Order: sequence, then C-alpha cells, then structure tokens
Amino acid sequence: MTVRDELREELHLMMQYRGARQEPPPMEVKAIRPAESPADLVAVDGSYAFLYNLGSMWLAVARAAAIPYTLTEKGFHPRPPHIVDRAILVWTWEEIVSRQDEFHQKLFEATRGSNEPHKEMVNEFRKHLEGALALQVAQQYDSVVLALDGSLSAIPKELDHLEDVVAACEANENALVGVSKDSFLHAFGRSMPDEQVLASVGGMGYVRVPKEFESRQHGLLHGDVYFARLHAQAPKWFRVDVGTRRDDPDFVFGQLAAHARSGLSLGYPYGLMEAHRLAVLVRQSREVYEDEILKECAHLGMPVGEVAAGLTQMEGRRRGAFHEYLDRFARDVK
Amino acid sequence: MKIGEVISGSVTGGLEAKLQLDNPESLRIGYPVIVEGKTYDFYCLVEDIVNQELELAERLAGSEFKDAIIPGAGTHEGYGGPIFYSKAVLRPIQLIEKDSGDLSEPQTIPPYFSEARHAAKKDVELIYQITDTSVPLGTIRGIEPYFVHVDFERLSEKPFAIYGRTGAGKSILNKLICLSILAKDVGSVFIFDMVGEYGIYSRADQAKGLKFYFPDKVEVFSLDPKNTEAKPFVLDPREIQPEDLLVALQDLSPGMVDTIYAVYQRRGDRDLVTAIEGATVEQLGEALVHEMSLNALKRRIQRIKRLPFIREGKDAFGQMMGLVRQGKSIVLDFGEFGGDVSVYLFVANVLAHRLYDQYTEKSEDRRLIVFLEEAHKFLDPLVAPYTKFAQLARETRKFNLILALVPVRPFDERGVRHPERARRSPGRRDVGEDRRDDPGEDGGGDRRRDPRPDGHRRHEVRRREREGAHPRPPADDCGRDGGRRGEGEADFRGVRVRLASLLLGPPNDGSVRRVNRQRFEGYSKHNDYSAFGGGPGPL
Repeated sequence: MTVRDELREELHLMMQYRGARQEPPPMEVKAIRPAESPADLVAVDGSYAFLYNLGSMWLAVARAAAIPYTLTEKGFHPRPPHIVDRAILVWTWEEIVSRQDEFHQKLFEATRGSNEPHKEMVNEFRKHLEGALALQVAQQYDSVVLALDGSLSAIPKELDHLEDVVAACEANENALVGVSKDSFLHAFGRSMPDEQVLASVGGMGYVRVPKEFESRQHGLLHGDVYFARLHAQAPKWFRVDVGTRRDDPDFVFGQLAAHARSGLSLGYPYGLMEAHRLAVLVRQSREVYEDEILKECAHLGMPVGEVAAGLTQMEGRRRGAFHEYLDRFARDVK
Repeated sequence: MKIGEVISGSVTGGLEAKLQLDNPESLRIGYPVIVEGKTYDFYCLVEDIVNQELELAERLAGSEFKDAIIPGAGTHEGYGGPIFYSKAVLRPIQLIEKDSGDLSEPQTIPPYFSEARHAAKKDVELIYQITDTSVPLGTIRGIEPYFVHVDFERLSEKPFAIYGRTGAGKSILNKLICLSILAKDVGSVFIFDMVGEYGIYSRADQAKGLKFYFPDKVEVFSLDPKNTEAKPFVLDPREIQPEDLLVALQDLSPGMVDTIYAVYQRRGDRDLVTAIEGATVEQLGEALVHEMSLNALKRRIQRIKRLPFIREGKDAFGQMMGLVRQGKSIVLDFGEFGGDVSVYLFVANVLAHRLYDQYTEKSEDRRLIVFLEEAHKFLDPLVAPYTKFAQLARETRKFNLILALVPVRPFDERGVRHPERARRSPGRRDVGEDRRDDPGEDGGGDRRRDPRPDGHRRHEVRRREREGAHPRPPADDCGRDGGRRGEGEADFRGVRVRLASLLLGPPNDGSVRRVNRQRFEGYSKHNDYSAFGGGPGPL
C-alpha cells in the first residue's frame, strides 16, 4: 500500500465520520436584541513571552491587560487600561521544584506529564495573572460587562480566581462572560465541532449547549455555556460562557452584541480585540527585556556567549538549538 | 492643542508624527507645529499628511455592514489612540531653547513620543522676529492672522530659493522679496525677467512692478528692440564661451560638443560664433572634428547668430554694473524672447560668467542679489555642469554676490517628477526654430534623435571630458545628479541652498493669477513701500 492509497483510505474514513449523525441537533436558537444603551465593557486578556533558558530553567514574562470601553453613538472609546507585567522562572526538574515555594510547586503539579511542561507552566501563570486582574476589575467596577478571554473553566482549580471573580461580579452587578476565540467542543454530540455545526444557522442569536455537557464539567465550570452569533453578518459563532446574570441571558447577550458591532470585528466584542492587542505587546517587548538580561548577566559574571546562547524563541526554544538549524537547512536547501 | 506624538525622525529627513486627530482634514500643509522636546521646542512646518496603506482598510473599504459601527474618524479608539490614524511629516525649521528662548538651526531631533501641537502666535513671534531690516511678507497658515516678518538683511546673506509649483505664486512672492530688499536697502537686485513681471507693470496682469514702486532705484534693460522704454541690452559676441553654447543648445551631440571646444581653442581673436561659422575640417584637423558634426553645429549656431541683441556695441553689462554701484537694481526684460528657453539659458549664463568674474576679481562693495527665475531649467543634469550658477551659489557669498533661485518644484507632493522637468531630454529642442533641414546630429547617418538613454549620453560626454576633448568643469561640478533631490530639498550642483521657509500652496487654475495679484496688491499696500522711499512711478 502506497502513501497515496493510505491517504485515500483515511479521507474516506473522515467523510464517513463527518456524516455520522445527520439529524439536526436539538437546539433552540434565541434571538438577540442589541442593547440600545449598552453598559461599559471591561475586557481582560493575557499573553506571555519566553526570554531565557538555562538548563531546565526558563525565564519568561507574562502580561495581563484589562481595558474598559464605553460605547457611544460615535464609537468605541477606551479608558485608561490596567496592565500587570510579571516575570517568572520555571523549573522542569522535579528535584529543584521540590525546593521551590508552594506556588511554583502547584504550577509544576498542574502541568505534570505535559510534553512541554515549561510552556504549560508559564501559560498557567498567565491565566493566574489574568484571573487576579479580572478579580481586581470585578471589585473595582460595577454594572459593567466583564468579558474574559476564553471559557470560564477553572483548570487547575488551585491556581484560579474564577470563583472569587464570579462572587465579586455578583456583588457589583457585573455581567461576567468568557468568550472563546476558537472552540472545538462537541457539546451537541456531532462529529463536527459545534462551531462548524452552527455555521449553517444564519442570523443573529444564541443557543445553550445541552445540559449533559455542563454537568460533565461540574465543579470546574463557572457558568452556563452558550454559542452565540453576536451580529447577523458575523463570520462565525463563538462559545460564550455566562458567569453571572445567568437568569437573564437575553440581557447579557444584548449587552455583548452591542459591543460586537465594530466593522473591524463583527460578532466579536471590540474591547476583547483591543485587550488582546495590548496583551501581546509583551511579545514585542522581548528585545527590551533581553537587553536587561544581557546587562544583568554581565554583572553576574556570565560570559556573553553563554548568555546569548540562552536567549530563546517565542515558545521557549533556544535560539541556537539544533532543530533551528535543521529547519533552516530544510527551508533553504532546494 | 495637541495633535499627535513623534514616532520617527532624522535631522535630515524631518519628523514623523502619529496624529491624534479625529479628522486629518483639520491639518494642512504649511501649518506651523511645535514639537516639544526635553530641551528644545522644535518649530516645524507640516510638509505632508499621510494615510498609510493598510491591508485592513483595503479589506473593509466598500463593505456593506448593517447595524455596524464602520471604522471612521474617531469611531475606534484603541489603547494607543485611534485605530485608523493619519501621520504628519514635519520639517523642523528652528529650535527654540526652552530655558533661554534662544533660536538655533535644527541639528538634533526630539525623543520618541514628544508631543506635537499647533503652534500659537507667541511661538511664531519667536521665530519671525521684528528687526530694523525686517518686513512683513505675508501671513502663515493655521494660525490666527499674523504677519510673518522676514529679516532681509539676513535672508540676503546667503543663497536662498523659493519653491512652488506653477501657479503657486512664486513670482508674486519673489516680487515682494525684491520690493522688501529695495525698501530696506540691504542690497541691489538683478532679475532675469522672462515674462515681463518686474518692470513697471506686469505684462500678464498689469500688476505693479519694481520700477513702479521704486522708479529711481530700478533700471530696466531689454533684449527686445521693440521695448523703447527700457535701455537696450547688447551682448558682445566676444563674451560667449563654449559652455554658454552648451547650455543654450541642449541638443548637441558629443561630436558637436567636441567641435565647439576645438574651434574655441583655435579661434584667434574672433568671437566663438564667427569662428564656428568660418571653421573647416581642414583647419581643425580630421582627427578632432568630423565634417557632419561641424555642419550640424553651424546650422545650430544660426539660432544664436540670429539674435538681434548679439552685436558689438555699447557694453550693457558695464552699464549695469555702473548702475549697481550707484545703488540701483536691474531688471533684464526678455521681451519677445521670454518664451524661448534657450535664449534665457544662454543670456543668463553669459551674464553669470561676467558677474562671477566681476565680483571675484574686483571686489564690489554693493551687495547684489541675483534672482534666477525658472531656475529648474539650469538643474537639468545635462545642463548643470556647464552653468556658472553653481559657482555663484557656492563661492560668491563672501564677495557680496548672492544667488536667489526660483525653481518650479522638481517633484510634487506625491513624489511625481514634475512634467516640465520630465519632458526635458538631451534630444529635446527648446528653441522655437524650424529643424526640418537637420540631418544626422553626430556627424553621420540620418538619425534625427539620439536613441541612447540619457545616462548613456551623459556618460559619453563625461568620457570625452576625461579624455581631454574639451576642458572639464571643476570636479565637484560633475558627477552629481544635477540637483535632483527629494521633495523639499534642493541641491544645486552639489551646493545645498538654504530653503526659504515659505511653502507655497498647490492651487493651479485660472483663478490663481487673479488671487495672487490680489494678495500682492494687499501686501504691497500693507507694507506701504512709499514709506521707504518707494512710490508710484511716472506712469
């Protein structure tokens, strides 16, 4: 059997699974009426960048950013953002981790077994920062829509602030939502992800996923899970978790839809786009941080060559790692 | 009011500011702007306003979104200001030291994110200070009515230039500058008046000229025998140099150029034109001259020969210099020859030679400011090496001879080469002569125009220069691009000329001349030159 034969066979299989369940999923799509006087929306997102690697140690910097938006007839107007930048050093060697503080040990435990634990640990740290900032915002603002990037699932629970965020939002009458940019859920039980199943449903509306899915997530999920198309011409449905005002999803989606009317991001809250832009700036600041590393390492007496060799690519790989050479070789040699 | 922040810059290239304006239409070219550095305030003029090309904008343009907030002026603000923003290119003109208020040349740049704001009247007053030799020359855009004072003593200390597109008002501004120089008596002016703009009345629109306001200070000479009110201009043919012919007859082939120099070296006591007419291959030698080149040159030289003002007689240049020494200014009216570019180039170049010699060899006490209209015609890469104006601009300041250039901008705001320059080429025939009897140009064949690209011909001319076919111009006069530079810059054969910091606006339609005339009348009335000794002339 040749590779071509194998390809054909696998494709046949894919097509079979694709059409495994043809009957329409049981869903009740409800209409969304965008709020005429929308509340302010505070969007929260985060990002990280690896900076330096020495043995099994990785130095990274993470950022959480929150940006409040007021929507008027003239457009989207931000107020001063909240930004938290933190550096973190993670170890992937258990012997050293065991000598670290409780927080680092939690990070290590949460990502144990991962192929690339250093990435997972820093990503968890990023989520931790985002949660802390979301909590701060939830306590500071009232009667706003607090939109977080991603689902309202707390994994691992020990590092998360979601429970506190929900409580603070309830106390301050904030509508808490988590909007996932891309979702691969199969909550409706189809072979295709829910987003793709819903793609054929036109118009503007929201639909709650089957209760069975939510019950499976019990204890980890802090809200109700919906899919929503927040504008009639939006290119896709988004997973939206509603954490507060759960008894009034019409209100929540009306508020969210008003903030998702930007021609730049139809169907996706504009504030979240801007929070994302603000968060990923941390990656663009790598050179500034790298300068700091070079200077500080020089003070500490490290040879420049050794320092430079430890500088990393975006995902924590060493810049001079051999795979980088192989990649370049494969690219350049025709 | 803050308009934006500096995001890039260089001393030579100017500054770029990210605008924080809802609408870029509230800013215009020429508006004065202050960029607040740490030590200095940078007084700048807006040189360009740009909406950068954005893939996102391209994708969104033309979209029909219902119930959506379409990105537009002020609709989408991000953490760094508007998502869709314009940029302004700012040209620093002066530095104002924050502590002392001292002015200096812009030899540094402000830090990133320095705030740019509209200049206020008090800022502008620091720049254009009133002195004993200053005259209000006009208003400045983007600021409450304020008359810009220019110190003409200082302006005329160094070569300067006035740039603008055709119809922008260069001649009007030039006339105001000339009048101001005369009013403050900081020197005499010498104007090559191609279009009859500066005499008593403008030939085009009857606007008052220099002679009208200062009848006792201005003398008009004319190339045109029909102008009986002016003194006749006579050019002695013995004054003609090979370079004058190269400048005037721009369609000469390399062979003809060689022939001119060969004749010049063997002319004896004859003038060059007569010598060329009488030259034969036998006299010059076949090794140096080709018969076809010589014949073609003889045909071309008739264009010069036919000019009525080239004759032996009372030397007009001597008269002119005598008048300048008496404190008078000279307007050289070209009359009916004003439309003939080659005549203009020819006469201006001959006089430039004589002025150069006069001021460098015999020191003259009276400052003379030579105004060269249509100066861009001298910047053509093929012409520039042979003109005397580069030396005038570079060397004669210390001899009291100042060159003022009035060229059409070589490039417009979009960076497009100006058509008037773009049309010029080695084979172009500027002279309004019948050329039907013109066979081959390079001493052989029936080629009407040299099909080789400009660069090739230029290269060949230079090669022949190197081989000694004719004297080579000074080294630093060659090898440059003849002055072509970017927008807002000028390089006159390697000599950077100081730019007049007055940008002229873009309008160019039928109404411009009327408006310019109204402006001129307004300013000249405002300035009341009679108070400085000027006044209506006998007409």
